[in-house]
Amino acid sequence: MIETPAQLAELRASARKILLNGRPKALVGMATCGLATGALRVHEALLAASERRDSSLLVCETGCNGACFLEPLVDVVLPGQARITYANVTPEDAEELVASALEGTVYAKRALARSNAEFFLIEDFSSPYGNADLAPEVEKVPLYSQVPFFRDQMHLAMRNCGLIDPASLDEYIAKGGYAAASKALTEMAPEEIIAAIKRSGLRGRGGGGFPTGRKWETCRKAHGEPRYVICNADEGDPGAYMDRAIIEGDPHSIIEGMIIGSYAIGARQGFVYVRQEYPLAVKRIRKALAQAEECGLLGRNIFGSGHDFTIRVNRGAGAFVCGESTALMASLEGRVGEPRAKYIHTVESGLWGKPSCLNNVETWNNVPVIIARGADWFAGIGTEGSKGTKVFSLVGKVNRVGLIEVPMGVSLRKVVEEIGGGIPDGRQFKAIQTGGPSGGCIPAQYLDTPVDFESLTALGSMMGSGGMIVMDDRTCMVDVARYFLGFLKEESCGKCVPCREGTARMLDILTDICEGRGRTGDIELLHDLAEGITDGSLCALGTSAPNPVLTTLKYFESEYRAHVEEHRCPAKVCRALIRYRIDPEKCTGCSLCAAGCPKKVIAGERKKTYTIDQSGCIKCGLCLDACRFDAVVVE
Amino acid sequence: MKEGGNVPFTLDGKAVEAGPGETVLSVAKRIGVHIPTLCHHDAVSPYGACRLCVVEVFWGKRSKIVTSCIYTPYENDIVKTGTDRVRHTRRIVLELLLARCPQVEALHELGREYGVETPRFRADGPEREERCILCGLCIRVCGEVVGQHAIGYANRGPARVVTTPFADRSEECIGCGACVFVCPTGAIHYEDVDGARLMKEWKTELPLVRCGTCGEAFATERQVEKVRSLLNLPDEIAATCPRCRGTTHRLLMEKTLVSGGSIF
Amino acid sequence: MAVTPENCRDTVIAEVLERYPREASSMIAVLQDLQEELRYLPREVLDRVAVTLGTPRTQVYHVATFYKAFSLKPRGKHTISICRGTACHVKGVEKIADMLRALLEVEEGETTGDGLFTVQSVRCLGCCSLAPAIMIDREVYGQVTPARLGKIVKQYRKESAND
Repeated sequence: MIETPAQLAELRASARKILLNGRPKALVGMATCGLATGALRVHEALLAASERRDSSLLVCETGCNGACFLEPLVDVVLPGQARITYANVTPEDAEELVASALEGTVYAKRALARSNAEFFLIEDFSSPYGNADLAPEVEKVPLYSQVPFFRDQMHLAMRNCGLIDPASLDEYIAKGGYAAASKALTEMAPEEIIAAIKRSGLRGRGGGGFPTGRKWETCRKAHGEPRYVICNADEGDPGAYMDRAIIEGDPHSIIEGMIIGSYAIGARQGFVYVRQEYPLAVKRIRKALAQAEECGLLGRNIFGSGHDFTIRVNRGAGAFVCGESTALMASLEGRVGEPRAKYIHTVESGLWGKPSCLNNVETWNNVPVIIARGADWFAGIGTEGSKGTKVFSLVGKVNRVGLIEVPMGVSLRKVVEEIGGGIPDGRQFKAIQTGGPSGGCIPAQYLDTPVDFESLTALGSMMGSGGMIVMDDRTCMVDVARYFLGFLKEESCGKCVPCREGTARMLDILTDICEGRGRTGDIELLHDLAEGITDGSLCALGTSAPNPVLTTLKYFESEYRAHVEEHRCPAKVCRALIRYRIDPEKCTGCSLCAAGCPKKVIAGERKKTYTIDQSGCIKCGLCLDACRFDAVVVE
Repeated sequence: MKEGGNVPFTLDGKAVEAGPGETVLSVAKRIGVHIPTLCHHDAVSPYGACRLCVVEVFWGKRSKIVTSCIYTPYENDIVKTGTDRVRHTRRIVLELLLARCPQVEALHELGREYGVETPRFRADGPEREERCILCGLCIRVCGEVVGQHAIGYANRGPARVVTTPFADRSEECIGCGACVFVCPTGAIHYEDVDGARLMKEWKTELPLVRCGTCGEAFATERQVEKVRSLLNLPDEIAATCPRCRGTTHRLLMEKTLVSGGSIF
Repeated sequence: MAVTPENCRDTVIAEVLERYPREASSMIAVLQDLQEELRYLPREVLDRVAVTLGTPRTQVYHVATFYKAFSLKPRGKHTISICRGTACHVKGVEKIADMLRALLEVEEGETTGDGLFTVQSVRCLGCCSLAPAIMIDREVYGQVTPARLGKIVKQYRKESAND
């Protein structure tokens, strides 16, 4: 049981001893994307190899450290030396990995990076893995600060991701977990906590960017009992999975943040609303909650402070609109996810009409850091208007796809070129899409823009929840706009006319444009409709629905014109405007294209030229992928 | 949140006061400022779905568009009902609704006020027969006033419809016709034929009661039963059509109503 | 009483209804559990939920038709979810959808004749480093190519034949 700060401190000391016990350890990254690349089999192979040697090697699970493009990842702690991160590990590597771990050497084939000390962010100290000099081959492995993907990153929200076993409360505590909650509940008054959050400059990380301290303050002052704190883990923006990584890698960080928040606001009941498409995250948070309840970190009289607090998990049921705060609350009430007008804010009248404070996963996760390290320290990171760090999902046409956490204010160029490693296959950068379906596409001339709330909004996009999708010259921007509108039409709740009817009509126009039926005046019509939808819609889904269209129109108007006036798709993506043809000079008659054609419209004889029947061709591009002689041409 | 007390604000240049919790729409009605609505009815709760009643609220240098049927003003708000932004929003709303329901005359009339003749959007064309604008008045009347909850929404987005559960015959409908009465576009119909009322869109047929005096079929059995029990009516009145009640049973009617048959 | 599929199902339904407070706010959790147990939400079950939770049938019906997690028609033994996230879109998941359509001969939202697969789109699995991705039940398959897709489908068919 952990009923007093002293008991917590005791457990922290003993858990820390175990964490740094000097045994060789292998941590396998087993969050969702790790598992999808085969980490489970790697884990099993390592266990088997370790057992065969009857060894003292601990094989554990951990979350995702963000380097998703290199998964499966395995971290090995070499006692007395360092921690080595191995990338692209296969089950076949298990024997040698285990051998090297036990011998204190490096399996150079997969070695990616090295860390000489275990860093404890909450208390700000480092514990070196060893005191003596490192073996030369260990030293050869570059430090994290030397690896381009990691060099410019700063893991605050991701402080424990990839470093601890998310199923272990002890490890969370060993890393300083719950120390901030203990301090907040026993040494600080609610008003002090709110003042600290205000001073830190923390702004909502879910997309709204609203000052968190001010939200808490208004909620605290609102009339009505009971009050509620809610964690929005619905993470609906396609291409964004930061919150999932945090829940899967460090679920207790959210619980701790909510304990502190609930105390500051005066809430005794909390909810975590997780989208059901994240089954592992649901499992992890449920387990963490059970652990916290079992030892008294949740429940009655937490740390002897007199504050009671429990948290329930609700799953989403497949509706993007439930990421909107009033729709989320409607869903918690068992109703459809229909938003309502926010003329009276949810902090005053939210769940069941009571004061409710809803924050995003990453926001809650930052709270213990601010309480532990201080508001001023946090405010020293980032820019004037955007303090702290932000986790982004860097995906799409970029060499290093994964999650990154950087201080606010870092430039887009740094993100794409230095951290992301630039565009693959020798292609050209065309745009970076930020802010999900509410955001927009930013072209190359703005790559030096700092990543912060105001700067991205000034360009017509927004930071949103942190999704960053890189696009190259083979991406059609009109198609991208159409994609987002299709998404929003699917996800619109259907209540208000501008969104329900307007997104469908905008989609009609864009579909016409992409299929060669664009007419003069379409672009002006899109602008006019966009204005009406933005002004007239009930909730942010509707009001921001035109953004992807508006930003692509702003920066890529020539591409729209080509579609409308010339019925041409410069990026050669829009199926109705392109043709696949087999170049008879290059075709060897190998028939691979015909074999893989889903519509069976490629005909020919072996060793003779094959041809595509245009009337049946659906432009899927499978023949282009199959051909090894560059004989398939898109025009 | 405002508590108690009146709220002074400006509406189209006039200094006015909203009562505690009173909406801009309600104040506008009171002082004779016209704001068009589609999904609003005083008998039911506001819904804020049609967006036609939007107005622009100014404070400091900023302004925002709000639906007057739900928005309760803050002190010193400057509210304007006819700005360019407001008119443009209403125009787009009507144009979108006309694309959805091109045969609804009420929409054409409203549209003409805002400069919409034919919608610029494709939709399905002028032959499209849809009349329902999904305002939800029928649903709210059936739920909040009549208390039967026979109809509701289904699906989401553009696929949203008003329907009975499973689009099948209703177990809850009493055939009172309140939904028909309240629908702003004439999208709901019933037909009385051969002693039964057919609620067409709800695929529900209900037997009618014949007046004990004149023999005309005047209401469904279920509706009569509901009203009888709610108002605690004597049998003679319940089985009598409205006209005959007023003649044959006038004195009994007065006695019943005066003696306080409770309604709710 | 003999154990029949009907009263087995009855037991399951009763058990789910026992798990949660009998009030409107339990609606979604109840329906989620029932959907998982029964693979769809039959009409009588929805009516029963309405009665048990004290909500109008219209409200249950709206919830059941609003959220993508629920289906009123039986789902296949395996649900294939095609990720429609931006990264997957940009990396050509449409080709995978085309291939799937060709292999299974059903459109999205439909179930194969043998009841083995239901194909649906899902908004984003969050496996963007593995785009294009699909999920079959709870297992994610990343960097799917048309060839690999064929093998995966074949494997599920084989497993099912062995059951």
